Amino acid sequence: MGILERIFESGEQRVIGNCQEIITIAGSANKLLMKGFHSESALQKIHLLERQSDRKVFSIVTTISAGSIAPNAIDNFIALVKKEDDIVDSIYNLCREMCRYRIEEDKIEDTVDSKIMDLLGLATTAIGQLKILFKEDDERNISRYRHKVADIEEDGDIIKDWLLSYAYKKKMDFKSFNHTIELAHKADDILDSCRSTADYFTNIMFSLTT
Amino acid sequence: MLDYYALFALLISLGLAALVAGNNLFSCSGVIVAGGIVKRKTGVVVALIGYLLGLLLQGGMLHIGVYALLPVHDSMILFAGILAAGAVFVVSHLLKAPQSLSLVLASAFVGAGLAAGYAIDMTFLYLMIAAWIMAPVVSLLVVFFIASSQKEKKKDIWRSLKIAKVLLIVTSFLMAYTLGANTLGFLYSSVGYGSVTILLLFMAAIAVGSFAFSGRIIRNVEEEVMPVKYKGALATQLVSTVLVEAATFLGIPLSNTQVFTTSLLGSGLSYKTRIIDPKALKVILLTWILGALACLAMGYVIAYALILA
Repeated sequence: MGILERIFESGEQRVIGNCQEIITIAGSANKLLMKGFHSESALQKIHLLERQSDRKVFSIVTTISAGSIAPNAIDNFIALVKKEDDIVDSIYNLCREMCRYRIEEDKIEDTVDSKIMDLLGLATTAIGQLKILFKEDDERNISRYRHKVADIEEDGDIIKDWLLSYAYKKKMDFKSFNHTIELAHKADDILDSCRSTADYFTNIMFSLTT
Repeated sequence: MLDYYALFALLISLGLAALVAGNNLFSCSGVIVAGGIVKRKTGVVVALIGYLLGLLLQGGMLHIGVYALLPVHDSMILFAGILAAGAVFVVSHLLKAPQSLSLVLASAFVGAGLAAGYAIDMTFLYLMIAAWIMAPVVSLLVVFFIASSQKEKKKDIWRSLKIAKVLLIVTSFLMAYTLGANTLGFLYSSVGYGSVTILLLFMAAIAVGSFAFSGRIIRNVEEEVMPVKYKGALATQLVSTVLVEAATFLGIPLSNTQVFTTSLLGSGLSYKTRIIDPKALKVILLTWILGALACLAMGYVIAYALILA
């Protein structure tokens, strides 16, 4: 790569561009999960996406390590990429948990499913905001979208708490109880990773020109 | 025709020129290489072109300084000064203390000149000492205020980043230019002012030193000096360049190392959470003061011994 290309097409911008692809993969995985609740075929498709995300992460980390990023920003960039991958991993983990066990009592299962669906709906919105965020290079807008993702994550916490309380309130066998708790945590993990991704992205962008 | 003293003075000077060129790669191109803006080899070439152009276009200006400190051209006295400065500079280099060649060379010249009974231009001497004290203080304060100034929210981060990177390449080149004009110019003016052959030898030594010591370019920035971000790095290099260039116009040898180090300190202090090791600062300050005093004494003793012999 020539010196002018190296200067004018900054490594940081290229890596952020590549990071957007992982967000797109996360969006597809989330969509599949919402469509195919408890479905084995959805699980297989999400597993493929999860592997695709892993490969993308490996390729981005290799690019970062090859010297396209300022050394003092490398750690933040790697953390950002790993956090993005965590979104896809969390979706896959949630899908696996859903396929692993079904709550016997239909009413309880419907309630739990509806709350998990709410959390996945929030994840769709958060991933949508992340897609917009990753295209932004205006500090004001970056702050705005980061706050939106944080607000979504907090809304998710409320639903998760409700679900945990519900699990403790209702009479159910241990497996169903444990399954409900696991689902609540795993669904919330998706939103937590979205928030961390937005935080890392913001830190990186704000520190680039200081 | 060169006598032995002049020949040895020239050889030591060429060695010092190579060492200074290599040592200062980190202050000139360290940020652009460490920041991934250019590759190491390109960083070395940017600095090398700066050194050579600075020496070629403005190096002769430092003859004013040499003449003020050593008004009589005597190769034996010159040799005494360069030997003293070279010894202190190399010892500091081996101890990994950031020493300034301008400072030790000028001090050694004063010592050697006093031993020889030369009428040193005292006005120039006072001006030079004032510049040595003022320049680091000014650079520290200016960089501190620039780096800690409240920044506005940026609308176009990528564009700002590209502009910052281009500016950093320019300031890196200018830093190298002023080093070539001032420090290397002072060295050249003392041993070969007006000689094209010696100028070419200096340029060759600078090129050899730059490539031979190019491995230090990253290590120094990352391990020995506080790594600064783009804004701090720009302010540091710009202020160092302006101060050293101003000194060059007055013929005053001013240390790039001193100005750059204190500018870095100013940049470092501007970060709220930056921790600066006071012990390291004391070592740097002591290196400068003791280095200058040691050179003054050594220059005097060597010149006196040579006169007696």
